[in-house]
Amino acid sequence: MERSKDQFLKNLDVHALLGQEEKEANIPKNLPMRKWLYAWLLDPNIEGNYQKSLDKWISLLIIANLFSLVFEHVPAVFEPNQLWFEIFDIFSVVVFTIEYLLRFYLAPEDEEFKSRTHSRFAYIRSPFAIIDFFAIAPFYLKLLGLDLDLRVLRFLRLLRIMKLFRIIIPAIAEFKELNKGRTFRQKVHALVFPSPFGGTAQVIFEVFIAVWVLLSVLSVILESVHSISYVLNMQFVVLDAVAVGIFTIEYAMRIYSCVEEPGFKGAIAGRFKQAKTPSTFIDFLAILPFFLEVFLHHLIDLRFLRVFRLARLLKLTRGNDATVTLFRVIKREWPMISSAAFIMMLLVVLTASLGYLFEHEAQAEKFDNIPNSIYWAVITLASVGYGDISPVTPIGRAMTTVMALVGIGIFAIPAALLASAFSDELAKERDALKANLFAILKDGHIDEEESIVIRREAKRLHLTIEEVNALIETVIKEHELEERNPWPVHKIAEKPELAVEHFKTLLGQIRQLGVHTDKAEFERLAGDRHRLTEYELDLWHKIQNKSS
Amino acid sequence: METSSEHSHHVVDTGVNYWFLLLMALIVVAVTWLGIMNFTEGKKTEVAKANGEAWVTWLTEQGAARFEPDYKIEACKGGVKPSGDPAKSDAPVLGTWGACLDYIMKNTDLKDQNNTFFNKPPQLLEKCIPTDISTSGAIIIEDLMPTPPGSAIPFVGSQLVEADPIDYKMQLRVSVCDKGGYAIKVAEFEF
Repeated sequence: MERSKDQFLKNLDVHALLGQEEKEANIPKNLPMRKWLYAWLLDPNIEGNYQKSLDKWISLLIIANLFSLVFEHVPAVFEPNQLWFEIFDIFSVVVFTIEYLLRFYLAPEDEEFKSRTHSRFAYIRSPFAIIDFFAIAPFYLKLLGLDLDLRVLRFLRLLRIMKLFRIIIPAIAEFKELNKGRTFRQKVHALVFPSPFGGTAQVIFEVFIAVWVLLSVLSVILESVHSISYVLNMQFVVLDAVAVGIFTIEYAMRIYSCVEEPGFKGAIAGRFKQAKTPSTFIDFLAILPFFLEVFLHHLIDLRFLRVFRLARLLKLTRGNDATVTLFRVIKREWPMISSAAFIMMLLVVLTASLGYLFEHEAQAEKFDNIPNSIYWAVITLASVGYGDISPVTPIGRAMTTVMALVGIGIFAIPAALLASAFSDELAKERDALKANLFAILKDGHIDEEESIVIRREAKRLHLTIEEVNALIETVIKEHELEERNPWPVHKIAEKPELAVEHFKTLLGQIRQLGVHTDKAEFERLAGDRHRLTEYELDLWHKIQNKSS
Repeated sequence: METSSEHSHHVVDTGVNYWFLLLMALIVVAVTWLGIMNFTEGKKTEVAKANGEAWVTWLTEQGAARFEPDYKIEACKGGVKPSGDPAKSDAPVLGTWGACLDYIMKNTDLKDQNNTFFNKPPQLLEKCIPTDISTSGAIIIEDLMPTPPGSAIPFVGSQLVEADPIDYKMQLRVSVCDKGGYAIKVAEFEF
């Protein structure tokens, strides 16, 4: 059995375990052309074909079309780049037409239409095909010289967005299936928080939020460019309101459903605890400037709050474990960092005071007081050296030379501290994963829950396949070592599965004892002076299949 | 046999939480309402910018023609030295910005402009003041004087006041004040 356990570890497919399996589509080459094309491009049931990639690129093109439509309404952007807009439109229509024709040609191979009498006609009448048709029709109608109102054309082109339903509808169906019989709040939780119940819909939700974060931050940055904000001021106002609307709804959904998260139970206490977490507090900061500016702009100038909209970028750190690790490291090393900061502060004050002492008479306008000299001291000690203020007296220069050299060492301390602490933390986390792997692989099999844990931890620690393989090798070696030095009984008792295995091993050993020993002599000795109780002897007989 | 009370323990309420949906709807309504408020305020700034642009258009057009001999508007004609001391005269003195401004405010479309922040004609101010929202929608016309070669900034702007002579080719800058009293540069041009 132990041998089979080790064999299991040696044969473990780490690619499959980490979900990074690169499956090659198993499509025979001798298939008829139409079947072969369908299998490679459109069949959703064949792993490793191009169906998912095709869907992804088409989705990106649809989103790009949406942006193009928005910017077409901005004369300052559209008019100078009209040619590029037209080229992009033609490119999109060509791609969408090829896609439409491909689906039309391959309809007889599609599970949905192949059973119909006229499968291609059935395809044309299907809702997705109708949407696809309306996405390209306006372009051809215009090409045919049909005098359509420009607004109608634009509206029809807007239908291209509906092509996204090809991805959204299956995701919703999957989400419904995963959440069958669950409460409304659990469903909201599954959509907003990563969980096994989220599926593709949760990924789409996260991508949607991330896109709005990027759009919103980009607009804040572009607002500071006069030539752009002058022209697109109103568009930025609308975009900000929509972004705040989306982020506010997301915030409310998180607060509402957080009680489904482990560790956040309790209608008020749980929600308050969630609101206090850094990521949710960031979510709150992302929407706060909008409301403050609207309500309080008549009382005080809150223009500075607009910069805080950039805090939305921090929303992208949600789920980024590296940020969490960094904060943990800073928290852990805080006493050392604060000591280094104190030494830095002492050095700055000392340098500034000496600078004032030696340079004040020679350059009263630059070194007019110690607070002003602090600026010069920081710039010198941090090796920035703007050069707008510099010592001119020989003693001032000598002092600066010494202090600048000392500054290099002192100012580097916090960075070095952080780097080494970060590296220590990573090593600790890897050790924890190793221990986890050891426990998981010990029983010789990996269930679904355990593989989720391994996948999540490997992803969190950014481990490559090779690194996980190396860890497994270590576990095998340690496992072999442990074979020679078995665990104490209380350790085995902690895991019922191990306890069962141990019990079976012990039974086997007792049976072996019965086979090899002199049975008559055993019974005589056992009965002599009551070495074994009646119950123990009875148990011995039972194990030896000799019921008394 | 399972009693009804035992059975009720296994029932999971999969219905929609209408209170939550109501809260969501309220959020959407509130953000939409605030968004419309922002949009309306933004529109007012757009009107202020349009006012500034109208000044730029008129002044640029006149700037291109006012040094021509057959230029019709005497009050804004280039090359005309101020005919008197503006400080001692009650009426605008020809050859000064005061005379040209007087002509503009009496004879052009610019006199009908509206500052939508306060629904009255826009003021011509020296500068926008962020702490004073009564400057919102005001128009700032500055004369840009070139600084000596080698200076860090190429121009120094000063408010065009009524006594300023306009007999030479001038470099002007028009700005408007937004809802927070901050200046938005509209354009720099020759007059």
